[in-house]
Amino acid sequence: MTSGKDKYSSIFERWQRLAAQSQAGDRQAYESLLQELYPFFQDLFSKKLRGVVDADDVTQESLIAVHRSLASYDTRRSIKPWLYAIARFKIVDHFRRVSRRKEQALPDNLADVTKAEGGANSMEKGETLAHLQEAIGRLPESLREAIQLTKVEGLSYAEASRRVGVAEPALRKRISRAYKSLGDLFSQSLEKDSAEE
Amino acid sequence: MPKSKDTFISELVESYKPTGRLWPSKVRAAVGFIGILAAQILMLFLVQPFRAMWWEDMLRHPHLGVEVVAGLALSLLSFLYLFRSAVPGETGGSWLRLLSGAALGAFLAALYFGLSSDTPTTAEGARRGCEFEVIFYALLAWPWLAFFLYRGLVQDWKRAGAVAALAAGLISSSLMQLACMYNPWHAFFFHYLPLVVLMLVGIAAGSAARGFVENRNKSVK
Repeated sequence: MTSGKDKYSSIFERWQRLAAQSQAGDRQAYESLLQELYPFFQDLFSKKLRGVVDADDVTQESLIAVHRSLASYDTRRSIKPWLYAIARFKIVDHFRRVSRRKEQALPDNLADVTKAEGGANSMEKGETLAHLQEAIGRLPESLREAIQLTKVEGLSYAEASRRVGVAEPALRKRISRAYKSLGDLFSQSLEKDSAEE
Repeated sequence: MPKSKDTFISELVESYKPTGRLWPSKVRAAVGFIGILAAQILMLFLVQPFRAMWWEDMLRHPHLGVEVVAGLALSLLSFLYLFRSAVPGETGGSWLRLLSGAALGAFLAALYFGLSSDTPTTAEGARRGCEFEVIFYALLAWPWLAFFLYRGLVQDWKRAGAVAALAAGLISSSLMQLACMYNPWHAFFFHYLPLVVLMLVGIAAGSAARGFVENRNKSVK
């Protein structure tokens, strides 16, 4: 089985050329670039954020970012840091949006993550859960507690706020901040991967 | 619900308008800074020239010179930060943070020294409504900044709005130190406090820009 690293390391140079041709106005090169970047972003988000975000949604957000800001890419440099930075931007963006709109960012119970992964094997399900719990474990105490009670133990906001001893709006605020921090943590983990590859 | 891959990509290709490569951040920052500085000097002179003794004042009160130079340097560095932060993979220069910290330190020290010293002040060159001039000249620079930011990828629109406001406002407030009367307390209240108003407007404008960009992206997916 080909690993993600082997799969992409040889084609960054090709994407660099395609990006240069696209900047010069070659639509065919641009279409090829987008066609090839789609599975790249999809793999990246599926691997890092399985069960947390809709990989297709964030992939399309990332391609829109490529589309809007292709002019900012310096074709004399490697395209890899530029692409990884876009992916990081989009992860942080996603969690910021979620925290602002108070949307559901994580399933009500983290154990549900594994149920949502219908096609994944049990090892992958375990990895997803471990990955999420590791990120939650790195949150500051007060934020971790808020997420832990509502998303792991499955308490309602009212119950969790009584347990923590804060008002419900304050608890919601903590959860909102926790989502933002999770975005930063996932983004940092992607940065680490990018540096290691 | 995201569109299918093929539909999504063909729509992006169809709407693609090649614009060539953006100038490097350093060049954009330098051009932005010099352009706005020149435009603001011109506008200031059109309203009322610099006070007659501005150069002598700089020599007599070295902290005024430090304040103006550090303010302009901070503005240039803010432009650089702003443009770099809109290029994926270009953020986080530690030299930029270091230089900005040094410029900010020098600026605050000079400002504090001026406020706490008993240097003689003068009403020569007093301008009516200098605080509005500071705000107005800075706002005129925004379309220029927005053009460059629009073609980049801004991650934090509120911060970008605040930094853009600070970058443009520091030029007008530093120049006002030479154009308006010399009085550190007057400068503090009428030349520098408007920066806070500008930054609040910048944050609001950044928030509106973020909403606009999010809606535009939603319509593409």
